[in-house]
Amino acid sequence: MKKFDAVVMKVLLYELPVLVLFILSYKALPLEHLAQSNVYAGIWYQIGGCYVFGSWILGALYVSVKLLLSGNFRQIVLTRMTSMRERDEREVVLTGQASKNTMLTTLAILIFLFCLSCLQFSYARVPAEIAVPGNTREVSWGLGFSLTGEDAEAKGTENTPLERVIEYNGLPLSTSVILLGLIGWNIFSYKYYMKKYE
Amino acid sequence: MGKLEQQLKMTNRLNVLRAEQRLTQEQLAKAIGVTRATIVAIEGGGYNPSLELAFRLARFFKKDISTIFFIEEEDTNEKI
Repeated sequence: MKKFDAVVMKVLLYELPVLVLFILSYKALPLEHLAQSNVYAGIWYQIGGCYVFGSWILGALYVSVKLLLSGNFRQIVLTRMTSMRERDEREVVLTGQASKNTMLTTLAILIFLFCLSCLQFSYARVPAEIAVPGNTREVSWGLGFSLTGEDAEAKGTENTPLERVIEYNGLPLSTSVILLGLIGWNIFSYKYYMKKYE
Repeated sequence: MGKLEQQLKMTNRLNVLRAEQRLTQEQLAKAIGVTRATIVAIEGGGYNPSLELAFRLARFFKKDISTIFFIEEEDTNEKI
């Protein structure tokens, strides 16, 4: 690893607790208002918000791009992050088996999430003034696929007089949460299978 | 291929040879260039070493490879 990369990684690692503390204090206190009246709060706001947050974001961007572009950097950082060890042939075999199982379970999860994200379902009561006699309820379901997120956002805003009891228009989770969950799942699954085969 | 796998079971005398030379698993692992967990796994039958590692072990103990690793034939008469 190059010296600059090592410094950036150390900055990310050591600044993380400070950043967490800053975010907690920012959420817990009205730090923005306090910073104007209190000197210490002002200094903390400047250091935490400007220098630590700023440098951490820049460092995180640099590392994420470098992880994509540099195979050597990727191997050093991610093998350490996942505690991947290949000290002898048995560990190489185990790593292969654990990686295979992780890949297959992740693929299964992705297929499941894709199906859930496409599924649309709604159950609604039709107002008496527009209801056909005998048909006062409406069930609709289907599949939706959009290339960008804009269509998905617009799906729930249909202006219909129906009184919706249940409505499901894809996963009620943000993209960030899903991606973070998948990263966590990959690491957990790999470690689980390594332990299982050992 | 499935049938052949079921009938053949690899076994070894690694723990006997190691005991004869009064070696610990750690010492053997260091001498061969693997981890202690690998020696434990081979002795316990949980891992079959590659040909290269099997030859390294045979060379270390100055034995023929077939005297360390051999096939334990299972009684398959009932299965067939």
